[in-house]
Amino acid sequence: MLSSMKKFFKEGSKDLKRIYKLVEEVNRLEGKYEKYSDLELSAMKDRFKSILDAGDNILDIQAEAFAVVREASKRVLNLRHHDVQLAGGFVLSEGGIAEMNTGEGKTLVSTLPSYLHALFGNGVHIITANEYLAKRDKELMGQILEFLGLTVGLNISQMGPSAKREAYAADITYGTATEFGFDYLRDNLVYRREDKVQRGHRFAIVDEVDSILIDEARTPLIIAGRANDGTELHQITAQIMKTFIEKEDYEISIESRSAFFTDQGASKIEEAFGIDNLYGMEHQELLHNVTQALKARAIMKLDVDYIVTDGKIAIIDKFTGRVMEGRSFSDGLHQAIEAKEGLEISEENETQAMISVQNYFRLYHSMSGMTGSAIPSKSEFQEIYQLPVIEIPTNEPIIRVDEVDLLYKDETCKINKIITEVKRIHDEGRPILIGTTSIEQSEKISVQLDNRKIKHQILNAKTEEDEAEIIANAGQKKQVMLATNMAGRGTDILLGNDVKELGGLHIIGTERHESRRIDMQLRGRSGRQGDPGSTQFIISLEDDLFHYYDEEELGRYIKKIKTDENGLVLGPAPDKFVKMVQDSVEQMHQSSRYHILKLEHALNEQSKIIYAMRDRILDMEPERMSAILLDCIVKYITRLTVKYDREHIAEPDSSALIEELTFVLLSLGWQESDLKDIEGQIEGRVLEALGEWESRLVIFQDDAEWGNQLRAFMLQHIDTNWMNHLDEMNSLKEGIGLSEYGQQDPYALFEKAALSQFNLLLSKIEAEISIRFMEYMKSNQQDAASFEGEER
Amino acid sequence: MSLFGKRDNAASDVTKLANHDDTLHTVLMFHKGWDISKQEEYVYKFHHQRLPALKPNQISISGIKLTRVEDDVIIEAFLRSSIEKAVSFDIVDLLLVDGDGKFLAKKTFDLTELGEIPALSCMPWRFLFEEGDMLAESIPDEGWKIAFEWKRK
Repeated sequence: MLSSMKKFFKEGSKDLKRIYKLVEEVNRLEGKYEKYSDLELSAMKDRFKSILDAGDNILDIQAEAFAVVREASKRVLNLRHHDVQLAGGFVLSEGGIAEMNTGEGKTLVSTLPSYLHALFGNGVHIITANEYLAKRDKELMGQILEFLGLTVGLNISQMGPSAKREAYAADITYGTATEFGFDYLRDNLVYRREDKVQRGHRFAIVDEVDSILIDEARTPLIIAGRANDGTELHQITAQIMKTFIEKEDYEISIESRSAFFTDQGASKIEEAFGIDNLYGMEHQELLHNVTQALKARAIMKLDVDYIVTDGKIAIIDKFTGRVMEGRSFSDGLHQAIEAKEGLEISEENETQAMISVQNYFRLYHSMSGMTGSAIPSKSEFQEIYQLPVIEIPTNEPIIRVDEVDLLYKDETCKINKIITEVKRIHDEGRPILIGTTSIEQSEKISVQLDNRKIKHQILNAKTEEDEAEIIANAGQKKQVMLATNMAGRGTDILLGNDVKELGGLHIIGTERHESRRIDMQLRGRSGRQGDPGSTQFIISLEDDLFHYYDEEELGRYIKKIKTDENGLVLGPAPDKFVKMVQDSVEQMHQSSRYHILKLEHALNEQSKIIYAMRDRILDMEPERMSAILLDCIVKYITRLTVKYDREHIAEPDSSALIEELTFVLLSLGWQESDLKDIEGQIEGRVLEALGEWESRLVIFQDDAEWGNQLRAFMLQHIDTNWMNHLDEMNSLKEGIGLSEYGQQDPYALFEKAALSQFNLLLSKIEAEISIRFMEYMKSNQQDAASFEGEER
Repeated sequence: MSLFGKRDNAASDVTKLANHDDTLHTVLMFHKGWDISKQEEYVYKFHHQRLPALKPNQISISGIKLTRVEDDVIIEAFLRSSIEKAVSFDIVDLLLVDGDGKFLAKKTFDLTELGEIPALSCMPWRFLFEEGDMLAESIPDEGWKIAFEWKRK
């Protein structure tokens, strides 16, 4: 253990040493580029491009390129990249994660690698935490890049396809992960190549990379369509759930955030619907519905997991406390919650395309990231994404004081202490930021502050612009701000006049988060760029974090504790206990992410195959579409005959085969006896009969219109089958949690099942295209015949 | 409850039909021409479960749902039979009444399309009352009932 720790440190410092050599080189080049005219600087783009075109490595020009960007930044924005910012830039450029503290100017860092990688001409995507930041960074940092002769685009939701195409055509494109991911999904549903908006995935720089790759890990991006008719059933099951009582009708597992029916609960449902066994195969849909209704009733909480605005449910991002625009809970849970809250039930949708944010980023040839808190998840980044994490030192030493946690026995004692502390520090004039983990909690504390007549602001699910403004003001004298999770907020808290002398910003964390990274981010809001500041967590044993922990062990600890008259836990070792709980909860989440990733692996590979198949069809000249169709029919027929040969070795039954073949061959006219003596040669005979096809399709060879129709026809059949497959895979995934596997590896079994399901999908697509096309041809033939008849 | 537990379907079905007090429960079925989803089926099952038991040899109609289409209303109702033989309907007069028994609407329906209702069964059906069938100013959302009008011959 110790030796591997040492190795990590060594590796980090070795990297840093190498990077600092590069930084020195950039510093040496500063004088050279200072003498360049604006025009000469912008002309460097073409110089670099020709060097890369000549086959030189990007590493050969990175110091020069960085020096050019730094010079441009000085001229355009009057900002000179610090050495640590250059160092961060090199980490990104080489495809790593730069851990840089809040306030170190990460936005400026991204200009360096984005310029360098844009020289390849394949586009660079800069991913920001929200659309407001994308817009802000594009407008500000874009000036430097445009000065250097590059084009910069902004990709936000609600933009039309042509505006999006333009944004993606730029050298550098700013936007959010969600929007990039959705564009990818939409691109794989188009019927014409020119309708796509993205042009590949070369290099991405992800800001707040931990929140994207780790915290968002459990919410996939889903494009859905088609209405369903489950409205009334949702309302009925929600009504039933209202009568259910915890521990009698259902039980909750806080650890896995799931709820289960007891025997009594299941009997009640069986009684309500007059069925014999809720768990019977024929009642899968009902079981699914009532399970979601129970989850909505027992697990999902108003103002914690979701809010209701304008009669609609909006999801709250657990990590940022912000409303997730345009997202809904999947798999009928959204409708179940709507029914629970007595709202109008929205349309339940069928999945058309789906990808997790993580898998989206795995599409990139190379990616990199920045954050203030990556080190705690260093091994996860390395193992899953092959992204090394390098900690960049701060420009100025950090003088912030992180005080030890205060652990209280219950919430009342905790809130009392928080209010006392706020009062004390507020009287000194220092600004205070109180970081809560839910809107509910913010409101509780707000009431107490009101009682003590302490003026304060609440930052919950506000608009992003308001938010930036409120945060920016939070550093003023005597300000008190309550904010639900501060992760990924991207705006700095600047200190007002005289605040430094008073001791800077004080931060109170009211709960330890399940992830230590989020705690780090909250602390990082204070003490930026060498400012003074202090932070402290004031928490209680009734906090959510402890609910996730083993109940018995928590009980044993609570029995042993000694407290003072205010309920402060004095012993045994509260800090050690809190750390242990947080570690074990984090471990649990990590395994669940691994679990999901493992399950997603198969589906991800499959979607790549299907999307490649689509792309091949999209890219095909219309004149060649007939050939592709024929290819598909040949495959289908071959599959049929191979299957026939295999299954009927002993006892040939050619009638079934002939019947299936008549669906796809124009005028077969075979009798059973025709196939009797030609065992093993059936395939050849059938393919011979196909010759007739070819002659018919030849007529259309030069007809572009026909080719395009054929393209749309084939894509449509691929898509509908693929969407059904997605739903089937979802139930397969659900199944893996329920079944018992004995000694077998459940993931291997899942992959096997997924593979056979996928093979089935491929043959379904071939069969459907062949048979439907045949039906079309036959009906056309009849139409043509009757038409000719009329003519005569 | 049945002695044979949940999994013995046949046994439990029989026990459900006959109650101690001689009342009967019906078995829910759907008309062959109805194309309904699984979800809708469960909605009907739920409503069916909540119907009061029938005495033997009764024909009963109970409303489930009222849907307004402009000035018309569509009433969904269960037709139930506790007769031990299949029954079929032809022409019936149906009334919509409020809680006080006041007539809200009246219409004659031809139910030959419905076909047979098997012994001890229940079948949902939809009835359209048009503007001209209304006997009251308006039909309330709650508190209405649907009933047969038995004519003395």
